[in-house]
Formats: sequence, structure tokens, C-alpha cells
Amino acid sequence: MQRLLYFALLVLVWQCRSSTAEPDAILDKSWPEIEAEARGTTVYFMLWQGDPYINAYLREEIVPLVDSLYNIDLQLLSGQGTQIVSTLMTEIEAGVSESQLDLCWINGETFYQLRQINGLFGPFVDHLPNSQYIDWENPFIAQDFQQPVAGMECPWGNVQQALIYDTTVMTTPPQNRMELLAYAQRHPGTITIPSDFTGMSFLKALLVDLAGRATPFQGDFNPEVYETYSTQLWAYLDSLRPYLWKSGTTFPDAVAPMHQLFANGELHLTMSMNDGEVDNKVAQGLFPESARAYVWATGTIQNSHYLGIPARSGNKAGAMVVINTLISPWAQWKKMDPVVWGDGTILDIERLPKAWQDKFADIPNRQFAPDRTTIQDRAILEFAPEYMIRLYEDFRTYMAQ
Amino acid sequence: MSRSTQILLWGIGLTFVLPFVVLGLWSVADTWRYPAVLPDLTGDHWQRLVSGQSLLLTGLLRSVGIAVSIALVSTVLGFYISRAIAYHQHQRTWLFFAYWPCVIAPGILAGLVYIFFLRWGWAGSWGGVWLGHLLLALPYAVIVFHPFWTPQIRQYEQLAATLGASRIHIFSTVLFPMAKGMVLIGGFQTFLISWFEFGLTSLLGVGKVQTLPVLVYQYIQEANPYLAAVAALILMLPPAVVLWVNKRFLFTKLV
Amino acid sequence: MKISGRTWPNSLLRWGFVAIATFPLLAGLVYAALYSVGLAGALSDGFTWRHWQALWAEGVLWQTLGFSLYIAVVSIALSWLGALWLVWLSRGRLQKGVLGYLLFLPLGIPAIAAAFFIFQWLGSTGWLSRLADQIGLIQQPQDFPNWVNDPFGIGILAAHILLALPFFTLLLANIYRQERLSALIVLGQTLGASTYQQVRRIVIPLLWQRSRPVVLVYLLFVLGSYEIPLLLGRSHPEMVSVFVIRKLQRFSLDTIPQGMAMAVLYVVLVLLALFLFYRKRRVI
Repeated sequence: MQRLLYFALLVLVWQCRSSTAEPDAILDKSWPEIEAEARGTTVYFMLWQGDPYINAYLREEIVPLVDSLYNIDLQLLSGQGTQIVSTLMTEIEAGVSESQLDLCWINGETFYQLRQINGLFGPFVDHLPNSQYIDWENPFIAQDFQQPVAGMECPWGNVQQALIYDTTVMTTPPQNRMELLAYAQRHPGTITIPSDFTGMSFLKALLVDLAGRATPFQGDFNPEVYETYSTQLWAYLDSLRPYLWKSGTTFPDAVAPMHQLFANGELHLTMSMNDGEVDNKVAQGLFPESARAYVWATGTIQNSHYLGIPARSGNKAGAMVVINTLISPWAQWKKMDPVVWGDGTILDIERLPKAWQDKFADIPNRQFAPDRTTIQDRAILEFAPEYMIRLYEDFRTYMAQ
Repeated sequence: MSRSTQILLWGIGLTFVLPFVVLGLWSVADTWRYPAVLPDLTGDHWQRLVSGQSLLLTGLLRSVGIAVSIALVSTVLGFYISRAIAYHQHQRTWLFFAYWPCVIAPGILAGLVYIFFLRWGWAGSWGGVWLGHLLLALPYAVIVFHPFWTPQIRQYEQLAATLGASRIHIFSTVLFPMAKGMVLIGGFQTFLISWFEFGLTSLLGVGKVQTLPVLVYQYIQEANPYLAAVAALILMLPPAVVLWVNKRFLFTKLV
Repeated sequence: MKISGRTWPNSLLRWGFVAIATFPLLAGLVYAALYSVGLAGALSDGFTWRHWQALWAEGVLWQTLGFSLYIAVVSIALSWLGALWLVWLSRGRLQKGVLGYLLFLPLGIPAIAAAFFIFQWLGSTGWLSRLADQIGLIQQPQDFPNWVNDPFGIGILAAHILLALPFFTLLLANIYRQERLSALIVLGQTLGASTYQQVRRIVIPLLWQRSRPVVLVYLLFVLGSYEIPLLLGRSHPEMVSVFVIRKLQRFSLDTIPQGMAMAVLYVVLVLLALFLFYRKRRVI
């Protein structure tokens, strides 16, 4: 009896390791054929849903749009980058032929991990009619964490990390790591770093500040560079720790709770991976009108976010059509409005038809966020993905334990 | 009881109302900035529930559907299974296995079976989440109903059989009426197991099966305490009402 | 016709049930065990103890299990003693009227709502902090004591006690009446027992004896709790469920086997505890 059970288990586990996904013929089809195939299908889109404005943009603008254009039922699922990777990887391990997901929002380190496990479908971007407007000249768009995009993921938006402060609380916000330390010493408990994507990106800004320049972090992952500067980084953070929120013994695990702490006055500084976010947070009533975003003098990470299609998606046509809609001038223009989402476009405005150029020019100005052109010279190109993965791990080891 | 004891007991009793008060305030708050003790009021959030603008209404219907069907199925099956176990000479050994899913954290259980659910195409679907809930609720029902099958009940059953009653007849006119109270309790508690379940649902549901507890967490994550409070209150109100009708329903029979 | 438990439909029900209750768990356990030693999984590269060693070497293993056990034991102990105190004060008369209703109320609160409530109540910008600010006790939220996401798990304990205290109060009050404790106490008094002796020699032993099985089951329940430490806990140490699910879902792919290893250890320990306890006692 027991032996039988054990045998059954082995068979079960063995089965789980077999079977692989079949190659797809969809890339041989023409765009109208793909559109026809997508019509009336359901697309499962997994994305980070930590912001009510982003959710509202998708739920209220995009979902009805693809429904009316293609009769596509776009279902939004909540899940962060690493969760997408683990979901897809478990599917590969289970040998399922059809993925739970058709479309996902990915960033550099997710892209890297998905490439590692061959989890992405492509190259597909060239097949999208709207991809002709994408600004491929821009290294902040054409490269994702130093990796060429190579048609395996489609740019969706471009942002720069910004710090947010309240002018009634803080008159001159810190412009580098030493000023940050000095401020924290004067106002203990009002500064923290989230243990998520945003926080790790801030650590990169600190690394650049420590190194005095961004060049060491360009190109492939260099363990020696990481060792050298990360050692300095943990030493710096050690000196900062006693003055951090909750004495640096715990860290918010996302920016949403951090924004809440900032709104309630518990924190004096919050941060965002979107330089325009402050506008919609004020419009939402979460932040006071005295809130301002800025990029500090030593620079912050600028990067793009992308859309990818899992290799085992059962509805690649639907996913491609939705992506094409998401990078259409209308969707990009709507998304850029500070009170909608305030997400930077990845389109090259110059290449758009004149009417669209005018519309983009007419987008209402940001009230509380800095102008994009003024912060461009403080933009740092993303590091290779391994830096991010190491920072995540080491931050937990050195800081959160 | 002395007067001070009574005051103390009342004080503690009223503490248990606080969750309803605090979440109630958030659910009608327009903005509620620190350090305001009371918020500006608005009915918008509840409006969103009724008007179906948010995910709340569909979440509510889904939760009700899953929990009610889980309660029905696990109560009926649990009743029969507990009888089959109770009439076996090694009933304690059989019952031991019923405790397994009850003592393991549902989230970890879900993490362990996730790969098989994916493999068989159950993950991310209603059916998959439903099966996951059954995995938790059915053993619980068996444990709840087990004490019902005393030697005395068995004698009644025997007597009815000797008098020529059919099997169906025995269940419908003898056993169920005697077990009615217990069946209601078991039914309500298995309903609650499913109604409250978060960890297992969020894992096996792959974010697609958005029941109310999943929504509460999702709203907290997007820093929307208002809708989180509405969703939490919808979860808390049915038990509170049932309690008013009959307190026994909530008290576990694991005792 | 003789009613028997040995007919084939009954056997089917029993075997079918045991299969449902144990097979998924066992299958998952075997898979997780294989995964944790590098014999399963997309990135596996042959047998290795590396992941177990990593858990062991960083001390994470004992910290996680230890913290979970600490939360479980402390919250149950405080709830049980609090319940004992309430039952003693009220002489077991607690279930009637509005007060009785209030005691039952928390039994209908889901863990996720309890955690959310504790955050909005005890957190540094919660309701208590707002009240403290109003009456001038504190000037800013930073002055409010650290009760949520704190090193001692105060928020987690508070949420568990909110749910467990009323439960144990009702349980002990039930036993108090069933065992006719008041009569025994009167007997004790006539024999000249002091209040301390009555509690020490009559009330505690009897209530403990009868409530022990439930205490164990509840202890295991708290040990595996997820939502409450997820919302109210700190980045480190974590409780078992939070650790396992984070490793499985939210982190670098290389550390998934560590989550699997922890899950295996947890399940084995819990089932072992259940087995030992179950074997020793007639009734659980």
C-alpha cells in the first residue's frame, strides 16, 4: 500500500517535468489576420496594481476601448514582477501547455529572469503597426537594464525616479546622500527606504552618488564594482540607520504604504518611480497641495516599463492587439495626462502625424512635478539586472535583518 | 458580580465593537488626514458597491457563491463521511486524517499543491479555488459531525431499520431531524471557512479569483483604506447578523 | 437488517475522504522535498543540500520558527489567562444578554479585517494616536509608541488576542458551567480553601484539563497564520507562512527551494505535534 502510494507520487512528479511549449506560427500571419484572431477573446493581463490612478486608467479607459474596438475582454490581474516570474516558472515546471497569463507588465530584472527561463514569446514588437512611432533612438527606451529589448518586450512608458517632499515641512530638500543623512539626524524617524523596486532604484542612485559618477555601472554586471561600492553603501546606510523610520529596524514593503505615511506626516520624504506621480496624488487628495517632486542633484534612475507576452500564452494574438492599442498615440497621450496617470510616453513625438504632435503639446502642465526636460540631465541609465537582484538580496541581509 | 467587575466586563465587551466602529468610519470617510479624530463623511464608497462601479459587487457575489456551495457540499458529504467513520471500529485512526488539513496553514497547503493544480489546469479558475476551499472545509465538517454519531443514535437507526424504514427514510425522518442543530452549525462554520479564506484563495486563484478577502488585501496594497474598509465590513456583517439570531452558530465544535 | 460500518459505500466514503484529506498534502510534500534538494524545478541542477544549508547557516530557520512559536505561545497564553480571569470574575455567567453578544462578535471577524483594524487602531497614525494627539499627549506621529511592525510583534499579538480572547472566554465559561465549577468552589470554601487555593487547585486544573485539546489546535492555527503577520509584521523575522509564500512568490528564483525546504520542515513538525498529541489523548 505505502509502496504503491510512493510510486504514484513519483509518477506524478515525473509527469510534471515533461512536455514543452510548441513554437508559434502567429508571427507568420499578417496584422489583419492577427486582429481577426484576437476578436472576441479574453486577455489576462498581470500587472502591478499598487496605484489607484493606474488601475483607473486601465479599468476605465483601456478595458472599454479594447472591448469596443475588438470585443476583447481584458482581465486585469494583480501581481508584481517577481510574482509574474514565479507564476510562469511554476507553469513551466508543471508542464502546462497554456499559461494563466497572456500579457504582463515587466521591468528590467523581470525581463532578465524571464529570458533566463525562456518564458517570453517573440520577437513580436515589429509586427505591431504602432511600433513605428516608438522612440528607439532613446537608450532609456531601447535598452532595458543594459539589455537590448530585441523585440521580446514592447516599451510602454518611461519614467524617472523622483523624491517627494512637503514644502511646508521641508524648506530645502536634501540633494545628495550627505544632506539626507544630515536631515535624518535633525529629524529622526522621518526618512525611510521601501524594500521594493522603488527603494532598490533609490539605492542605485546612492551608489552613483558614492561613486561620484554613473560610468562604473554601465555595461555588464561587474562583481568587483558591486563589491566595492555596495560595501560603501551598507556602511553609509549603517550610519543612517539609527535616524531612519522605526530606527531602521523595518521598512515599508511598497510605496503605497509609504505615501500614506508621508500623507499623515509620519515621513517627510517619499519617493516614486514616476516623476509625475505627485500630481495625481495631489488630485486624489492624498498629498497636500504643498507637496513637490524633485530629482536630487546627483541624479536618479530613469527607465522604461515594458509589456511582454508569456511564451505559453494561449492568446498571443489578443495580447498583441492589446499591446498595439496600449502604444497607440491616443492611449499614450491619455496616459501622459498628469491627472490620469502622468506616465511619460515612449513614442517619438516628432514622428507622429501633426495633429497628434499638437495634442501631445497641449497636455496640461504638471503642477507639482518638475518638467521632464529639466531633469533629463540628472537621469541615470539603468544598471545590469544582476545589480538589482543582488541589491534586493543584500538589502534584506544587511538592513532588514 | 460586583459593580467594578461589571464595568470591567462591559469595557472589554465594548472593545469588541471597536473594529466595526473604526472600519465603519473609514468606509464613510471622504478624506481622513492625520491628526483628525473624525473624518469628513461621504457615502461615495458604499455607493460604489451598490452601483457596481468597483470590483466589490462582483467580489461579493463570487464570495457568496463559493461559500454557500462549499457549505452545502461539505455539510452533506461531511455528515455521511463522519457516519462512515464513526461506525468503524478504528474510528479514531480514521478521524486522525481529518485533522491534517485543519492544522496546516492554508497558504502553505496551497503553496504545496499549487504545482498540481497548475498541471491539471485548475489554478486561476473558480473550480480550482472551490476545490481548495473544499480541501479545508470538508475535513472540518467531518470533525464537527463526528460526535453526533453516539451509540444511542446508532440504536435509533437500528430500530428504524428493524421497523422497516428505508435508508433514505431513516436519514430524512430520523437522523437529519436529530442532527438539525449540529448541521446548521456545521453548515455555517464551513461557510465561514470559505468566506474568510485569503491565503489559499490568492495563491490558487493566481489573482484571477477575486473574492472579498482578496479584495480587502488588494485595496490595502493600493493605499485605498476606504474601499478596504467597505470590503472588510461586508465580510464582517453577515456573521454579526447570524450571531444575533443564534449565537451557537459561531462557536466552534472542535471543543 | 443490521446497520454496519463495514459496507462498501462506507468503505468508499472513508477511503475517499482520507485520500482527499491527505493525498494533496503528501504529494505536495514530496514535491517540495525534492525541490528543496534540487531534484525538481526548472532551475534544478542535481542533488544538493545547498538550500537547506543556506537556511541553516543564516539562522533564518530558527528565527522564523522561533518567532512563529513565540507569537503562537504568547498570544494563546495571554488569551487563555485573560479568559480565565474573566470567567473567574463573572463566575462563568457571561453568555447572556448584550454582553454575551459582544463576546461572540469577534468570532465573526476574518483575520484580514482584524489585521487591518489593528493597523488603523494601534498604528502610529491610527485612531489611538489621533486621540493622543488631540489631548496633547504627543506632538507628532513619531512620538506614538511603536506597536505595529514592531520588533516584539505587539500588533500581531494584539490581532490574535482580539480573536482568541473572546473565543477562550466562551470556551472556559462553557466548561465552567458543564463541570459545575461553582459547586466545587463552594465545596472548597466549606473545606476552608482560600481564594488562591480555589483558583490554583480547582479552577485552573479543571479548565486546563478540558480545554487543552482546543488550546493545541488553536496554537497550531496561530503558528500558521498568514494575513495578520503579513500586514502587521516586519521584514524580519517573519512568521512561517509569510516566509514560505514570499520565497515561493516574490523573490529571486534561486531561493524558491529555501521556501520549499521551510514548508517541508513546518508541515513535518506540525503533523508530528498533532500525532504525538492525538496518540496520547483519548479525545482531541
